[in-house]
Amino acid sequence: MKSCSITKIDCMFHKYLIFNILLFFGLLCNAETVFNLKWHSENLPFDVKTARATTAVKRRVGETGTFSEKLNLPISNQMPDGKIALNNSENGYVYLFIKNNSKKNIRFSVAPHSTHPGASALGFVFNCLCNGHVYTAKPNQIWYRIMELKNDSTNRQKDIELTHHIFEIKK
Amino acid sequence: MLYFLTFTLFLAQASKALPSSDVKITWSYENFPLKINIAEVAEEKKVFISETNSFKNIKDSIIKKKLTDNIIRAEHKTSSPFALLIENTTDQDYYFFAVPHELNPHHASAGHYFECLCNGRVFMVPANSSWYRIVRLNLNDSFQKIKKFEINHKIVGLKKNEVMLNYKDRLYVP
Repeated sequence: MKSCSITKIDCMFHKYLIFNILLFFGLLCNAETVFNLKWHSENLPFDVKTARATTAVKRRVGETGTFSEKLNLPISNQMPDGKIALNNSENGYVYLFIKNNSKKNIRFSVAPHSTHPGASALGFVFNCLCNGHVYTAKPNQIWYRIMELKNDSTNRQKDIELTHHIFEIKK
Repeated sequence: MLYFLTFTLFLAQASKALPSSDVKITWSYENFPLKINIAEVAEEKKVFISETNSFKNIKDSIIKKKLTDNIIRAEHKTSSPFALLIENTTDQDYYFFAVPHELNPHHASAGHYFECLCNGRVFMVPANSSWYRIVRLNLNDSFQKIKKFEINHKIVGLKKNEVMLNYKDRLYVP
């Protein structure tokens, strides 16, 4: 009878141990990465902001548009610090908003983003806007683009900085 | 008179020439001991963009000449194919990937389209072989007519076991 209860305790302890080991490896396998999105708009009269979008926009990635007052887009939260945290294998959806504070159309483009640290580049895919295209921001209106950040299952980097340079096309 | 005609002919030819930019292709390396050079492709050989392979003898290959200054003259509104070349004289295979390229100055990027190697794929350079990839640079109507600029890539070396464990599906197989 006594030996039986010891076996029971042993059994419970082993289960507890296995549960903790699984939890530990589960946490390891599901690491979180914080992506810090930085935007430099040089000397342009632009206000540049980002916000999280809901997964409802996943079929609208790459969409660009302009609005002046009523914003009819599914925003989940603003990103004042430009940071977005994603678990492994998680996709995040982000709006880029550019407000043109001038009184004229401004044609602009965005240079390919720099990744820091560079060695982390295999760990994610960023469907952004730095593909050599030229865009136009209308005066006193807000231009937007829907972007997608896919964190890979293999990404072990805790913090990744992605910097874009926005510049004017004058011709 | 002959000098005048020659000079006129020269001016006529010069006006026909497309504007071009000198583009320096530069590399930095992390955990990767080999070097990448750019090379001209033999004109008589059929060129397939993104063709990636390796060879033992340059005479039997698609490569015509290694360009030691790593500068290509890219004509605007046309595409310029060339090759990336890595010579591996060691007895070891090397694995690597390329971080997406950056341009210097940044504003040279509008209207540039470079089909290169920074596409999330992992490549393998076999031992005692030369590896190559055919790439193409296209400067289209939106390009800002910058005479000289640089395209910089960072090459990151990977261990074989790391590739087999995490990136087997990304390994480029010719």
